[in-house]
Amino acid sequence: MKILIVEDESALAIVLEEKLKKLDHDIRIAKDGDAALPLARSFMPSLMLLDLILPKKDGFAVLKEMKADPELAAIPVIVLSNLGEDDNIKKALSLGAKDYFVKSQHPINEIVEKIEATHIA
Amino acid sequence: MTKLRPSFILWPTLIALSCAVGIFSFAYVRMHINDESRLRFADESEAVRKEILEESGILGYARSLENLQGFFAASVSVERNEFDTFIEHARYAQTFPATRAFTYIRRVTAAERGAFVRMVRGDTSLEPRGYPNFSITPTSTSAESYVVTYVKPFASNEQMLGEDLLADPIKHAAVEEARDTGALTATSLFTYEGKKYFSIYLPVYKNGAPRGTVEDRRANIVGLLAATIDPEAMLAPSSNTPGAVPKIHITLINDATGTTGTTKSVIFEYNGEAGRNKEEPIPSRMGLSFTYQIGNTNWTLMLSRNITENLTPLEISLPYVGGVSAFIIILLLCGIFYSIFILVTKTSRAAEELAGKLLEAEQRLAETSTDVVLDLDAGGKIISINDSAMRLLGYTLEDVAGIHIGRTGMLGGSSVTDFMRELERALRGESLPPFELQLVKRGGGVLIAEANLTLLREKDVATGARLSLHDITTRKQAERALNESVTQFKRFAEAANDAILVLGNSAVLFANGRNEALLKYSPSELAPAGSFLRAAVAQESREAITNALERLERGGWAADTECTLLTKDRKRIFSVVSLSRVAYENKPATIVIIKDISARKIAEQRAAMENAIARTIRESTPETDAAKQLLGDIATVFHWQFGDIWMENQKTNEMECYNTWVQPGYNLLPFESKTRLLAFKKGAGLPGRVWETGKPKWIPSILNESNFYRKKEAEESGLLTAFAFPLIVGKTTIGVAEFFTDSKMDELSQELFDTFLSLGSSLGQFLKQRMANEEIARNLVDLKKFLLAVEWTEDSVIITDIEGIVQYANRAAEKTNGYSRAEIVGQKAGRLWGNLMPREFYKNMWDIIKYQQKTFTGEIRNRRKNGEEYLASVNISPVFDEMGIPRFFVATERDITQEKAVDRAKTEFVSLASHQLRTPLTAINWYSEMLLGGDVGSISDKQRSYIEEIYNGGRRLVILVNSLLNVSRVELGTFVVNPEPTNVADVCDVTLKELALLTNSKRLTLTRDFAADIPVMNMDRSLIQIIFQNIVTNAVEYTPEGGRVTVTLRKEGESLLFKVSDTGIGIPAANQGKIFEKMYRADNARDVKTYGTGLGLYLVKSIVDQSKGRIWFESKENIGTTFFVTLPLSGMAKKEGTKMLSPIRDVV
Repeated sequence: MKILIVEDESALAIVLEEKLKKLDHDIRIAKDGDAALPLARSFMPSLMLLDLILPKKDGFAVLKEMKADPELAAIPVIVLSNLGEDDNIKKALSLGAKDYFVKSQHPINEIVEKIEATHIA
Repeated sequence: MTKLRPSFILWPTLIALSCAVGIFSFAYVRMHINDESRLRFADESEAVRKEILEESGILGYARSLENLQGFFAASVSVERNEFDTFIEHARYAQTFPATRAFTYIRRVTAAERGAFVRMVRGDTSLEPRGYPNFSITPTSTSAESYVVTYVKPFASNEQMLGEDLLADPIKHAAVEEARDTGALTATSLFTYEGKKYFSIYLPVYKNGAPRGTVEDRRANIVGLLAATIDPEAMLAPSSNTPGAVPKIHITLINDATGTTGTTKSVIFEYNGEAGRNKEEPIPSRMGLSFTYQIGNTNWTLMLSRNITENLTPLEISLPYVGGVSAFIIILLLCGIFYSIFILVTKTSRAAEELAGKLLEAEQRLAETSTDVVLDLDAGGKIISINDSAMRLLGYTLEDVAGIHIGRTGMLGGSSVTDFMRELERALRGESLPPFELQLVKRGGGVLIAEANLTLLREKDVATGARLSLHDITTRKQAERALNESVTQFKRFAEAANDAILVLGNSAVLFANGRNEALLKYSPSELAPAGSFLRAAVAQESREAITNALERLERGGWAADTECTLLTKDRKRIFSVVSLSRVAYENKPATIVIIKDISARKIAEQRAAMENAIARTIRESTPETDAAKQLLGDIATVFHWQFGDIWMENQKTNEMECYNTWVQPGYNLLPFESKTRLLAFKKGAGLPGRVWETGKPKWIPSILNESNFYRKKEAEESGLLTAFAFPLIVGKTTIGVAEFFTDSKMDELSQELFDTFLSLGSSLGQFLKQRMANEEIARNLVDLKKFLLAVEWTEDSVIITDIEGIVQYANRAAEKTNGYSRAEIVGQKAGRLWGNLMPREFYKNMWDIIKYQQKTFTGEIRNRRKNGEEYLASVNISPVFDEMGIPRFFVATERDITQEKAVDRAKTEFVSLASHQLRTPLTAINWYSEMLLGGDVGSISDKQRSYIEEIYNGGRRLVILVNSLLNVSRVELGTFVVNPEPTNVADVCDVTLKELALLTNSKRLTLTRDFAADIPVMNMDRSLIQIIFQNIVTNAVEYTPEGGRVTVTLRKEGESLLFKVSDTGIGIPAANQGKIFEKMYRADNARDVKTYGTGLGLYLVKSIVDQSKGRIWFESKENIGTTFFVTLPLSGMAKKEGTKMLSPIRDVV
C-alpha cells in the first residue's frame, strides 16, 4: 500500500522506509508539517505515519487538518512519537489518530506488524 | 417665717384685681371712644342743621313768602299775570324747588262770592280763555271763604284753584292764626294728591290799614300768600351724592296750629341709619335737637344716632381690647412679682436651711463629744450648750440661754474673773492655750475642767467664742488627794470609775480595781512599769504615749491622749489616757487615768472605714491595686493585721485567693503563702462557709475552730481571730473578704455586722467590675500579640464576615494583591483582585465554606492591582463562635506563581529532555534491529554479537529514560493517581504472565498463592502494575536458576497484603538500610543483573507511600528475600497531577 511517512528525523524516516519498502509498500516522506498535507493530497496514501514534534506545523495541527479535509479524512493515521505523556496520547487519539506508538518503546518489527494490520479497503 | 396659704388668698385677689383694672380700662377706653363718636356726630349734625333749617331750608323758604308779601304791600290788587311774572322773575321755581306751588288766597265774603266766581272765570290776563270751570270748592255757605285765586305754577296744580282753605281743618286753623298774628304760620302735614305737604301762610292786609291788634287784623285781612312745600324734597339729603348722606336719624317737628291748639307734628323724618343698625335704646344713642322759631311756628330739628354708628370696627372693639389687655397685663405683672417674691424667699430659705444644717452639724458634733461645749456671744452670754452640759453639769439650754455665763452659776467663784479675762483675749483674736476652770454642777458639786476657747467669727467679724470644757476632775482630784495623803488617794482611786494607775520609774506603784476589770491584769502582774507599758499599750498608740510621757518628764504638760490598750487576753480597748506628774510617796511618779471610750470609737471607726473605702474606689485606676488598698482601708481602721479577698473561679467552682494585705511591719509569711495556695469549695474553710451562707462570720478563736484549713500557719503567724464577710453582686456571692488579727477581737456589734453586709455589696460590685476590666486588659495583651503575629506573617491573611466583606487584611495581603488595606477593607473579598476563575469555582468555594462550613483549599488565579495575574494556593476556613455559629472567614493565600512556574519549567524540561533522549535511542534500537534482522544484508556471528550489545545498550537506555521520567514525576509530585475499581488479582496475573518467559528460562518454581476473597479495589492500574512488576521482577531476576518464587496476595485486616518471597541472593545486611534509595544497588546485585537502574524500589516505595500503604522486607544474603507490601483496602486516593507514571517494560 501507499504509506506517507511524516518524520523530521531523517535517520528514523530512512530506516522505516527501508523496512517498509522491503515489504512492497510505496513510501513517501514529508520532512515537516507544512509539506505533509500537500503531499498527502497528491499521493493519496492508504496510511499515514505521523510524528508529533515537527518543524513548521506540528503533528497535531496536521492531524486536525487531515481529518477536516474530506478528501484526506478517511486516511488512517498512526502516530509515531517519542512524547510518552498520557495527555498527548489522548489528544492524538481524540483528534482521530488510529493508533499511537512511543517509538523508543517498540522494536521496529512490532510497529511494522501493526501497520500491516491497518489498511483501507 | 410663717407660711401663709398664699394660693388660697392670693390668686382670687389677683384675679379680682386684674378684672377691676380690666373693666376700668374698658370703661375708660369706651368713654373716650364714645366721646370721639359724639364729636363726629356733632360735626355732622351741624351740617345737617344748616342744611335743613337755614337758608337752603326752612328759613329760606320762609323768606320766599316775605318777598311776595312785599310785592303785595305795594298794592293789594295784584293782577294774576303780575303775580305770575313776579314769581317767574324771582326765579322761585329754581330757588325753592321743594315748593309745589305758590298761591294767593283771597278772602271772599258770602256776598262777594257770585261776582268773585264770575270775575275769575272771565280773567283772561293769563289764560286766553279764562277759567270757565272755576268754582269755589267745596261749595261753601259760610260767611266767608278763603279761596285760592292765583296758583303758580298752574300746570299740574289746576285743582288748587278755587280751593276754600277753611274747608280743611288744618288749613283753617293755620289761616286764622296767620290772619290773627300777621306772622308766618305753618301747617302740619296734610295729604294732597297722595303726597304729604305742608304750607306756610303769610297774611296780606289792606294797604295802609291798621294791623296792630287782632281785631284790626281780622277787619283788614285781604288774603294770604301761601307756599305748599314738599318736605321730602326740601329736606331729604340728596341721594345723588353717595357718602354725603349722613348716618343720622332726622326728625323735623313743628308746633303747627292744629284744630285743638298747637300740636307738635312731624313734618319730616329721615332715617339715615335705616338698614344699618338697629336703633339702640338710650343711652346707646346720641341725640341733638335744635329749635327755630319762624313766624308763629316753632320748628324743632331732632337728630339722633347710635353711638357706635360712626365708629370703625376697630374703634368699637378698642375698649374690649383695652380691657382684656389690661387684665392680662396686670395678671402677668402680679405673677412676675409673685415669682420674684417666691424666688427671693426660696433662696433666702435655702440659704437659711443650709446655715441651719451647718449649725446643726456643728451642734451635733458638739453633742457627740463628751466634752461640754458652750457657745457664747461677744458679750459673754450663752447662745447654746450641748448635751454633755446636761449630763455633766445638769443644765439645760432653757436654763442658761441668753444669760451671761458669769451669772448662770456654772462658773465657780474666782473662775468668773479668770474666765472673762480669757474670753476677752479670745475675742481679740489671740490664740489661747487651754486653761483650768472650775465648774459648779446644778445641784451643787464641783468639777474641774480643762477649758479651750476658740473664736467664732462670721465674715471676719468676731461674733463670739466657743468654750469647750474637758472634765479633768478625776485627775485633779487624784492629784489633790495624793497631795493630801497617799491613803486618801488610794481611797479616792478605788472609788473612781476610771482605771487609775500610778507608774514609778521602774514599777507600777499602784493600780486601782478598775484596772483589773478593764485590762484583766492583776496588780501583781503589772510590774515592772516598762513592760506594763509595752504589754498594755497597743503598738499604734505607743508613740503617742511615749511622747506624752516625755513631755511630762521635761516638766511640761500633756493633754489627754487617745490610746488603744490591749487587755491581758489581747483584746483591744479604745481609751483616753490622762497623764500627770505627781509626787507619790516622795518619789516622782506618773498618774495614769484611763477612760474607756470604746463605744464612741466604734462609730468613728465605721465612718473612717466607709470614707476610706469610698475614696479608694473613687480614686482607683486600672493601674492601682485597688483590692489591696481596700483591704488595707478596712483593716487599718480596726487594727487587723491581715486581710485577703477570695474570688470565685467559674471554671473550677472554687474560691481562689485574689489578693492579700499585710499590716506594714508585720511578717505573716507562713499564713500568707498558705492562703495564696489554697482553693476552697463551697462550705469548706472560712471562705467556703461564708460563700455558702452568704453571711458574715466571726471566729473568736482560730485555734479552736474545726473547719479551718490554715490553723497551723495561723498559729505560726500569731493570728488569733478571724472575721469574714461576703462580697455580693445582686443576690450572688462572688467573693469573700477575710480579716485576721493577732489580738483578741470582740464580737462585732450588730451595727458593724450590718455595715459589713452592705459593704460587701459595694465591694462586690466594684471588684467584679475590676476583674472584668483586668480580664479585658489581659485579653487585650493576648490579642495584641496575636494581631502582631498575623500582621507580619508572610502569608496573606484576610478576615471577612460571613457575607465575605473584608474586615481585616494583613501586610502580606497588601503586598500580594497590590491593593492598600483601605481599598480592601469593606469590600467583598476578591471583588478587586478575583473573578478570574470560572463561576463554578467560586460557587463551589462558597458552598464548602458557608453551607458545608468546612475549610476550602484550592488554587486560585487572581489579578494584582497592576494587572499582573498570579496563581495562589488559597485556604479559607470558617470561624465559629461559642455556639457554633460561623462568624468570620479566614482566608490565607500563598503566591505560588513562582513555584508553579518553576514546577512547570521542570516538568517541561523533563518531558523535553526525555523526548530528546528518546529520539536518538529509537534510531539506535531500530537500526540495530534492522541489522540483527538481516534486513540490510547478512552479518557474521561476531558482527551479530557486537550489534546485539549495541541493541541491548539502547534498550537499557530506554528503560533508564523511562525510569528517570517516572522518578522526576514522583519527585515533582506531578504524577497522576487515577483510581478505578480494579481486580488486583488479575493485574498481578498479567505481571506473572509477562515474566513467564524469564521464569521458565531460569527454571524457577513460581508459586501463586492468591486468596479467593480479594475484593475489587480502587486502584490506579498503572501504579499497582508498577508495584507488582518491580517486586516480582526483582524476585525473578535475583534468584538463580532452579530457585523458588512465591507470590502471595490476600486480605490482612484493613489492608491488602502482597508478598513475594524468593530463594535468591538476598540483600546484604549492610546494604539493607539503603535499599529504597534512588540509584542504590546492593553490592551483590550487580553480579546478577548488570543493568539494574537502582530506581525500581525507590519508585515502588514512593507509590506505596502515596497510597498510604507500607513496604518492608526480610532478607538474608544467599538465603532469600521476602518483600511485603500492604495497601489499604479503601484503595488509592485520587490525585490531580499532570502525568501518569509509566510502567517500565523490560524487554528481555
